[in-house]
Amino acid sequence: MKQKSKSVLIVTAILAAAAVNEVSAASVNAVVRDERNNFVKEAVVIATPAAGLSTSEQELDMKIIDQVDKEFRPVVSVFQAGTSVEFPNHDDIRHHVYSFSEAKTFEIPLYKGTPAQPIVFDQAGEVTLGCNIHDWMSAYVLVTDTPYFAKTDGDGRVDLAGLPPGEYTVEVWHYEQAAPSEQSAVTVNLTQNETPALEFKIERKKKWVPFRAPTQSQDSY
Amino acid sequence: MIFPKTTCCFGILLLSLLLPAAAHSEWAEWKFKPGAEYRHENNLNFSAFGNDKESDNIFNPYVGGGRFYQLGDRTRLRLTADLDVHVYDSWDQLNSWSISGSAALSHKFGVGLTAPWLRPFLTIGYKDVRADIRSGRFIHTGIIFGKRFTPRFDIAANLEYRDRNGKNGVQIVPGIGPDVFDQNRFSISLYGNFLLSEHWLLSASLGHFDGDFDSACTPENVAIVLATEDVKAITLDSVFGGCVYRLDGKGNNARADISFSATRHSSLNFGVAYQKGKGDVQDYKNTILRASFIYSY
Repeated sequence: MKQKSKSVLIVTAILAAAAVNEVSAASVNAVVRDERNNFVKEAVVIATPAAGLSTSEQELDMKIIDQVDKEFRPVVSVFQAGTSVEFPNHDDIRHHVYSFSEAKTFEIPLYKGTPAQPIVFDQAGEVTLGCNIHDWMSAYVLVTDTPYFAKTDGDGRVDLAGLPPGEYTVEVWHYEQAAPSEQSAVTVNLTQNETPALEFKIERKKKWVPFRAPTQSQDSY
Repeated sequence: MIFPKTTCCFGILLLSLLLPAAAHSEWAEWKFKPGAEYRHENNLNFSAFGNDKESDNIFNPYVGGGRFYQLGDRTRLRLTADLDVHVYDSWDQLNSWSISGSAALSHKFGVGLTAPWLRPFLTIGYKDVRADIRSGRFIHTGIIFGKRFTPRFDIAANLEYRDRNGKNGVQIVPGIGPDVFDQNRFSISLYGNFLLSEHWLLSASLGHFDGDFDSACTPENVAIVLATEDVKAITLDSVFGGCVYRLDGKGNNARADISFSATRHSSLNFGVAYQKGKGDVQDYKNTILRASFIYSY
């Protein structure tokens, strides 16, 4: 009986703590536009706490970047450093995935299906992916140290929730962003009672991909 | 009647495409490429004499298909079979169909967008023309070297040898054979592609050839032709009503195309090409305007 009471008390305490955490979480709304005032979809809004990041041993979920109809899906991904990523190939042909980016340089030589070992993205930074067979295949990955990030929707908007109250640097990243600017990062003090609405503006520089459609000539690999 | 050796080659090629035992199926990528082109040529008979030039519009549907065999990480073998049909608005004696088989081995020297690549190729085919002396087998072989510099810009250089066999016509000039359509030539071409926007691609090429080409003559100008050119072969021509002759000359061609990516698998293409041949004395010029739709899976 004493043991059962003790268990009930422990469970109650855990639930109470969770409820307190939920109530004390902060959030921020953001909208991202480009220099022409167009909404930018698939921009990544990242919140980095000023107090620093805890070195918790939280297990990170496996992520997936798929290959379908000779295209990477999704085109834009964001992971926390230390995330393992699988690259399943759902085409009935082989692909050869590679990256020369400093944050993660790797090759998965010609394969079909899903490689046995995922790729661990262990360093923060930008990673550009390609396929050595199909020149037009490109995907862009942002690897962050912070666990607080989200992508904008088709209207350039995102709601970044579940942030512990405190001071944050909130910034935006997009794979076509020309360079960081004053309008792409801001410092905010988040409390549980307010949801600041942030507006970001980025200057875009188009990322070109080779022409995929067939042409008259046979002059391509 | 199809040249027997050509039939044998086609048979082997088609079987190799179809038999799963011919290659590991997990390595193969199928390719299917139908298309249709409509073009206008202003000097179809490649005449050296302005008032004898004949023009026409040509409808050219085609279909090709084959398989890629990935032999290694950076090496792939492409085996394809193609069927090509030409239908002329006015000069229907030039209507033709052709069937060919191609093998091309592509190798990429490295990993990444800018790694250069090399592709030797061989095409063997048979062309059947309504004007029968133009019918016969053909062989194209060569090597293409290409490199992409940026996602928007790439170039390729092509060194090619073409050989065709026609049928002998009637000998009309003593000492000069009637095998006008037995021709061969070497050519070298340089191609460039530049992406104008996400959906528009500009392509251009310059080429030079050295070897045989044919031109039409008439009873009025044949004497000038025989007097001024080193005619290698000459015979009667049922197409343009006079004669047709073969020269061993040189020539240049220039071409520009613009392609619109209709979908990821299809495009609309518009282009212009200029061909110039030079014999000993005469110049031979042809301008081609073309529009096409291509699908590729």
